Amino acid sequence: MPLLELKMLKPHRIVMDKVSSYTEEAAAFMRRRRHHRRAFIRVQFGSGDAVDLIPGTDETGRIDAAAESLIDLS
Amino acid sequence: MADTSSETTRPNGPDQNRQALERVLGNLSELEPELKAAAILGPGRQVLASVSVEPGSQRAWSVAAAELLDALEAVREREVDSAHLATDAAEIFVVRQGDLALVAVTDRFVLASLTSFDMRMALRDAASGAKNA
Repeated sequence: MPLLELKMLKPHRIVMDKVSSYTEEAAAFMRRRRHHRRAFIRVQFGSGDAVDLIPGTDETGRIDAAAESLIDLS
Repeated sequence: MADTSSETTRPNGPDQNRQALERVLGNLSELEPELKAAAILGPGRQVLASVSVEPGSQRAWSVAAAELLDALEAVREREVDSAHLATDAAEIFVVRQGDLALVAVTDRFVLASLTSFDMRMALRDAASGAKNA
């Protein structure tokens, strides 16, 4: 087999690389978007420490309800 | 858009104080185009001034904001300095200074640190205005 033929990328491989890089980009974008869209509650206290709470739990029931009514009224 | 006319006189009564607080909120809404509604709550969790809150829903808004503050403090039974909540629909920022609290509802995906900073500065202005009243 000639050496030149071994070194050259086959055209379909270039296309496949391009397509797979685009799909990877799209997947990363969707992951970031999903991460950003996630609801959260972050509370900072007077002492300087902070706590992250997960909405929809028993602990945050009152907060969720108050926040929802506030958003509905705005 | 809130009235943002600048007056050089110091607030010296309840009405002037309220006007000063509304001016502070007006400035904040100019800085934050994504701001949906905001209010400054006083010591008894009553609304001292608000911006972009419908006149008919001010009472309900103040009740919901007071309930939110109470609920945030009830989580760890400690005084809350600030809070940031995000839902699918909007984001809520809470900043406190002394007896005053500033609660703001914004669109989703705002620049959180910038919004918190602007709110902190606005509340500081409001606190100094209230002290001079």
